[in-house]
Amino acid sequence: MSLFIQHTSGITPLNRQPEPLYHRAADPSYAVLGEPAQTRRMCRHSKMGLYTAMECLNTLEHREVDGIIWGTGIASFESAGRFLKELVSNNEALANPAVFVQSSHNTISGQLAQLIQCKGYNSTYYNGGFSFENVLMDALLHTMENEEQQFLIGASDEMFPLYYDWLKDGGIAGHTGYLPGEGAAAFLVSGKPGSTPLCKVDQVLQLYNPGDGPWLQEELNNFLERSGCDINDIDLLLLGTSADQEKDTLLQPLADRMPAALPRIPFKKYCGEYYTATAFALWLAVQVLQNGQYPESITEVNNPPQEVKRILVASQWQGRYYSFILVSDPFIHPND
Amino acid sequence: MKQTVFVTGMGIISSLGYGRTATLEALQEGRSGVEPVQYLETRHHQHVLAGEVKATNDELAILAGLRSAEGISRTNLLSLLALREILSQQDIHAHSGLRTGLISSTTVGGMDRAEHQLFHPGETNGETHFMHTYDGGSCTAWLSEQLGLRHYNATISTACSSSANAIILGARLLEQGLLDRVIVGGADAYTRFTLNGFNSLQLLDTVPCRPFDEQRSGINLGEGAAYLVLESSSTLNKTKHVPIARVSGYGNTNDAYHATSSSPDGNGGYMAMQAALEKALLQPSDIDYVNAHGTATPNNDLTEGVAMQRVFNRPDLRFSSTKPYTGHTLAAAGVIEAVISILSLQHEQIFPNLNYSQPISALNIKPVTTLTAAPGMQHVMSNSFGFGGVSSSIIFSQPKTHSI
Repeated sequence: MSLFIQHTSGITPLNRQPEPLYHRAADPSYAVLGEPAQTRRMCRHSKMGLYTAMECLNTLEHREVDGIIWGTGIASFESAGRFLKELVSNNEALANPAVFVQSSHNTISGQLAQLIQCKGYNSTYYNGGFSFENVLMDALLHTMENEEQQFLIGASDEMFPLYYDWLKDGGIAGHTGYLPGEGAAAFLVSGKPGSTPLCKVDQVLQLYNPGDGPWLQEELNNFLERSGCDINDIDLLLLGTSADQEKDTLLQPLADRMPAALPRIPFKKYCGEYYTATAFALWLAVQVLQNGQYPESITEVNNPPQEVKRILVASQWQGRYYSFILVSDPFIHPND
Repeated sequence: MKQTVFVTGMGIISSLGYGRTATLEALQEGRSGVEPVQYLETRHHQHVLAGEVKATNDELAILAGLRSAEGISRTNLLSLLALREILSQQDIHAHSGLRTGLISSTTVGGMDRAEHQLFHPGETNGETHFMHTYDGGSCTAWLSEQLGLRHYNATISTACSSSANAIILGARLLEQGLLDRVIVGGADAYTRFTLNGFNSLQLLDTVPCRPFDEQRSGINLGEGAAYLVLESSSTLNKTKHVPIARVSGYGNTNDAYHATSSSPDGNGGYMAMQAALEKALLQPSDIDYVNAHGTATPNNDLTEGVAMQRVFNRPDLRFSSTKPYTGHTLAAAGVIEAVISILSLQHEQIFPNLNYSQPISALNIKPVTTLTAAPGMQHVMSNSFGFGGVSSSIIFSQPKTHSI
């Protein structure tokens, strides 16, 4: 079972200087999403998700897919936060229905279905640091059920001042480690390679609160073994550490035990820390496999790029959510 | 070989009370949990009715065996109680080596704590900040910790079909052998956020809701939680649990029409019901009862009615909405109604649609309005639709109709 990625698109903070408090992705022109009257009602999070999804679909002649699966850790929190703040300030006297509807966590997958008239499977995962991992697992499950099907999948989370303030008040961000960040990424996937597959996702594993290092190490070894390889077969590690000692307490030692020559990119340095940062990591993995080199702005790599066939994404969120994603060249030979 | 999916346990809490027995008694007696608002602090308390769970957060915490409710959202207190009912029936850690997952669902998550702290900024200093308990992931993570589960967990949020989709995902993971056992369900607390949101959309009724009635004029919101334990056929051989139902079919489709209302032909619901029948290898005539989504909004009941007519094509179709009992519990509705559907199968009874007097003139089907015995009942369908065009339908069947 493999999930072939046929196309991808992303809105990321990669080529942009971080703002003082957080990484902000460069906004494209959202005007392509529809009439100004329509797009004005959409919150930025929706626009980010819809734009990147539509860009991904534009490679298809008919923009037809069998289903849509989206992930988000905090969804359209700008709308929810605004609705909530207004309720407090006017003591429930007035409420804006449009803002309420935008605050539905599944607004992106719902709007996408309407935009492209996709009447098939439609789901949204709202599961913290596992939101995107849940999406990948669902897509892999679909390939097991019927490998012919083609899905649009993706994830998005948005950072904005009120969210930052509340995270800071809660002691969740703004103290140590990488800056908070944001981004949206979409992928066109199928159980079949299609004519021009960019790469394939072989496996995804999520572990909640693994407690101790040896268990995490054992799970990683088993994970690689199930895909018929070991750590020496990995050509690039996309490492989701937070640069926060407390949170990296299991993941950093795990990475330190890997071969010293294994090139590694601490990807949250570039996209910032957010719930669905592993979607950025997968987007980055696709760029590397597709172009055979790292994007220019990625400067923190311990070894020069070599031929990359297999990429391991190893990430953690808040020191409790751990995940591994194995991405490889679509035409990789088992003995490579 | 593809695995068959059985239900071996369930737990529920809603405005009807705590547990399967309290739920069954209320359904059999035609007793509604929808009443004037008593527990939620809101300026609208005199103008709306709701299916609240009749307890404060502190009372819920004590019932769940916790020292205090501090730092825990009402949504999670409700979830924990529903899960505790399951734990009182079976040991979910027995038979080591089984891969056990947790799939929960919610729309409001820890919204109640956010409201509490933002409405009372001075009084809540020193409490854990609401951002720690706000998102769906933090709710499910806390439940994973309470249950001691470390492998796969997921949180689905597809508006009012959320927990139906949690059941569907759990069934799919078992069928493909990716998990051996999975606890599926969801919870939503009644909050000012949802009350004011639905109110602003003019979707709330001020009197007891009247699903499938010509005069229906909106929703009564509710709150609650329910979970099911699903086991695959190979797991059942190890646990020797007696299955109470089988998940025989399901469909997840999208209406692709409008953010908050269904297409005139009820296409999303139609396709979901058709997909569920196809998956279950059943004919429409095999379905003994449909537990409808039936929110009592003018749009939902008309379009769901049209969709049911298209699928079943028979005026004697037996269906009802049980939302007049529980209120519309949003993310929890799918699994609360799954529990009700399974109780219906177990007791071979159809629970009546309350508050009904006048048929919808545009439809030729009418809901069941009295407690009706249904001896030999085999298959029940449960519908859940929601914002964003999401449409899900699940078929629960007698476990004995299938050889293990």
